[in-house]
Amino acid sequence: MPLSRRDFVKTTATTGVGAAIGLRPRKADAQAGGKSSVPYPQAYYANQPGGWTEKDIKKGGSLTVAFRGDPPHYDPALTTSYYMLGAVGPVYDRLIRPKWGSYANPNTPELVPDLAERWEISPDRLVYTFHLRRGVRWQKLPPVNGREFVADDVKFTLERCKGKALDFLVSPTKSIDVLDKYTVRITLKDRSPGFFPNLGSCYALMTPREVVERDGDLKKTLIGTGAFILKEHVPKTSLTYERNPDFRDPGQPYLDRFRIVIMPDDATQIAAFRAGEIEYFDSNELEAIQGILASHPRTVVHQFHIPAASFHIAFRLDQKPFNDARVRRAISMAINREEMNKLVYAGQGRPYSISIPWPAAFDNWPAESAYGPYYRYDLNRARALLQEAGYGQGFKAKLVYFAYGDDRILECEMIQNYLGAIGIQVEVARLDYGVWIDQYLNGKYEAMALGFTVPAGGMELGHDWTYDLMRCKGAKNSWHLCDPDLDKLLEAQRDEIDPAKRKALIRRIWDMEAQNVYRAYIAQEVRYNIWHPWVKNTIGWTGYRFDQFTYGSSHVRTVWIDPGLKRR
Amino acid sequence: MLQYAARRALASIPLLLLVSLLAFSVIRLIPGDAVMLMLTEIGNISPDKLDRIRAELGVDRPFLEQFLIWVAGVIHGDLGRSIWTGRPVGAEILRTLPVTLELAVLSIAISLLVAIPIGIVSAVWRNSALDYASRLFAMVGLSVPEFALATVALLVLSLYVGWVPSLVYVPLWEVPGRNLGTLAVPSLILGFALAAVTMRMTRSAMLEVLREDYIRTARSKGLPEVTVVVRHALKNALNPIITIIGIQARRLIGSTVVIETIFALPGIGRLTVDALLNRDFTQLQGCILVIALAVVLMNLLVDLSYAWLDPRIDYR
Repeated sequence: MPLSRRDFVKTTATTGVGAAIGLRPRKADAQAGGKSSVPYPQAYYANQPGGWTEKDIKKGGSLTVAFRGDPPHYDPALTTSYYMLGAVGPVYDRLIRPKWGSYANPNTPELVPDLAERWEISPDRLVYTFHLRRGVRWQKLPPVNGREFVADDVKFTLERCKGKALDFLVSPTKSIDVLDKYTVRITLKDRSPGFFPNLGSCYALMTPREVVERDGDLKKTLIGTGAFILKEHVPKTSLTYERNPDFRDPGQPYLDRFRIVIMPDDATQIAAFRAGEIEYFDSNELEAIQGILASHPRTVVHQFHIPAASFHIAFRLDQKPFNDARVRRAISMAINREEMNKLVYAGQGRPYSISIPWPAAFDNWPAESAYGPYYRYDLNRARALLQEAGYGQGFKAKLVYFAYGDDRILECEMIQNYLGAIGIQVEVARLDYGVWIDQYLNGKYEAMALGFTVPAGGMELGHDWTYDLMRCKGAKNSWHLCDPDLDKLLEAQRDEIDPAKRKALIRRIWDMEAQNVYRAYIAQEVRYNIWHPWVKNTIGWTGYRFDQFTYGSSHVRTVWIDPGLKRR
Repeated sequence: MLQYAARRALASIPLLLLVSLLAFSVIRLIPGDAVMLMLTEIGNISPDKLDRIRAELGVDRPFLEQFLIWVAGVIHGDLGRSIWTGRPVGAEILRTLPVTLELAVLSIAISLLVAIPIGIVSAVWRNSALDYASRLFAMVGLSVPEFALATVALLVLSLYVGWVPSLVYVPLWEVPGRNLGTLAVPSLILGFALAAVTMRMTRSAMLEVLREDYIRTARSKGLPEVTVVVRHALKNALNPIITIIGIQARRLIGSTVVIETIFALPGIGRLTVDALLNRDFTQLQGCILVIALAVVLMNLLVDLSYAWLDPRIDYR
């Protein structure tokens, strides 16, 4: 039975209390076997999966999941495409990786060894030494033919990222030195809190030199050290993987076969799920999900909120009238976020949000008070602020957006109405995707945009989601945000080694964001991961990029199928 | 007739060139480009990085130069490489075209199998219950859009039957049974929509022919009604029906885009739409050329079939 709003709040509160008093599973990774009686506490809309232990794991079987698009190619250095990462994840490995599975903390990455068996970090956080696992072999496919994975491969992979889409991974590095066959040392130019965590991200995949030497890139050939071998890719149809019999861990992967089918249409995915053609998909269509639960009551529905997609009204902060904090505050106070949450997300979203991931600044989901006075809906105060700023008669402004789903259309209509109530006449313009990306990411929009944040990497929840996005000279500052006080805080958090002090600094950045309304966040979107009950040890996508399916499907090697549940 | 066909084929060359030039220009008028989209998720796009990639892909050259390079490639059988995937455009089209062709052929076959008998029955027993039922069938087919029908079909099948056609396409020559299973429902849906129009045309053409003197003569000779209707009436009513089939086949190109998306079929319709959304100019250009060629060929086939059906028509 679906959880009520109250139950959901209760579950979320339990998560926070559990985390606060240290109720963590002893082994938070399926590789080691879940030992806790319940998976990591999460917001499940329906059917929270039960606990299991290592001896419950069943080997064999296959898993089919649906993606909406096809990977353009297989070269991780050339694109950060969502579909490319999902397609290559089962085949490539990384030096380090986040813990996966239903016992892993979905809010904070906990990094564990992958191709590196251990590592040392110098006290000044400038030198990282990785000791590789011995005897790891590339898949037995030409031209690599099962050669051993060695330190030269790490150097080759990382150096190849320079000047390409993954430049952010290596831009902080001064040198990458191979100390011996199994040891590599990376020295940084300056402290970079995102560097180490991002080596565990879905982007930092170790790739073979031989393919690049033969083909010039990795676009057409997919050979890794991973648990699955790509057997067939029919463009725009499916990708089929089979277990790598020579995988370094003889116990894994648990599945014999993994398949991604390309289904661009939501209705098709829902029909295919009902008919058992696919076993996992993600959606934001609550009514359709409720329909599935009516016909398939045991379906697991996991609910999550995407920090990166914390949609907000992006302002041209370098231009009038949005360079005046009073105008931005007025706009923020004119938005009825509670109402928006009810109407757009059936009350399941979160009325308040800021795109800095909350675990970087808080211990639990921040309370409403953490957003300060300007996130409260107060039309009178909003009008007064506009008056104070000299815009008592209101003004006209354009709001551009791209319709990432119907919700964006509704949100824009609501924003238009809310701002109309304080005299701001909003002209809403829906843009084509190509135009939108050009205008938004390059900060070329005229006045306002319904924007979101795009961190590079994203594994480090404080630095990655603030430094390059909010600094005056930040490479991804689409808003023309320039506040010298904020810059000082951003630099300070970058240089701070003590985790508690960094958390306090990120909290101050959060407070500045809330106080100055650099971006006026609207109600936060809710999404759902849906899977059949026999799919074990997954939590699907939680919105951060260190998790599962979509942004990298590497974790599929720890997913298993319960055939008993499948037959029922 | 061969001479006529050759003349038509030659005449289609400037037409195809014109279509290509138009498409080439219009595509480049659309704001946004593939390079921007490729770098979307990176976020930090420096102008020099953009310029370098544009130069690598050749999209920074003057318009006319790009067009002439493309035409020269086409003459040599090379449609270029997709900007987005790097795969050869020709190979992508060859991979996707059979899916769409199979879907189109099956849909037209289903529509003819349904529409012509119903159209004849409706005309022969005009204003009977059968006629009213047939007209209702046509009205439903005309008024319900294919995408709605497809979505409802998937919903009903998955919800009440617990089955959907296999949504992972396999080519006909690999596993024929599974291929036909995958295409059955989408072909039926497209066929139903096409049948509605064809049925109405069959009915009206038959009604007209059945009033002709030579039909009365055939009946007065004592020929069986089946012979009168099929051999004398239907054959003479076929010309407008063939015309409408030709028009419908061209319309199918648009309909298959939607159906291919809903049923996850990797056809040329989906390839074209994806190329458009990704601003994959080379792929899109190739798709438009092939679709234009298909339309030209279809027109030619329809024109040639007139002469085959009606000996009075002579192409000289």
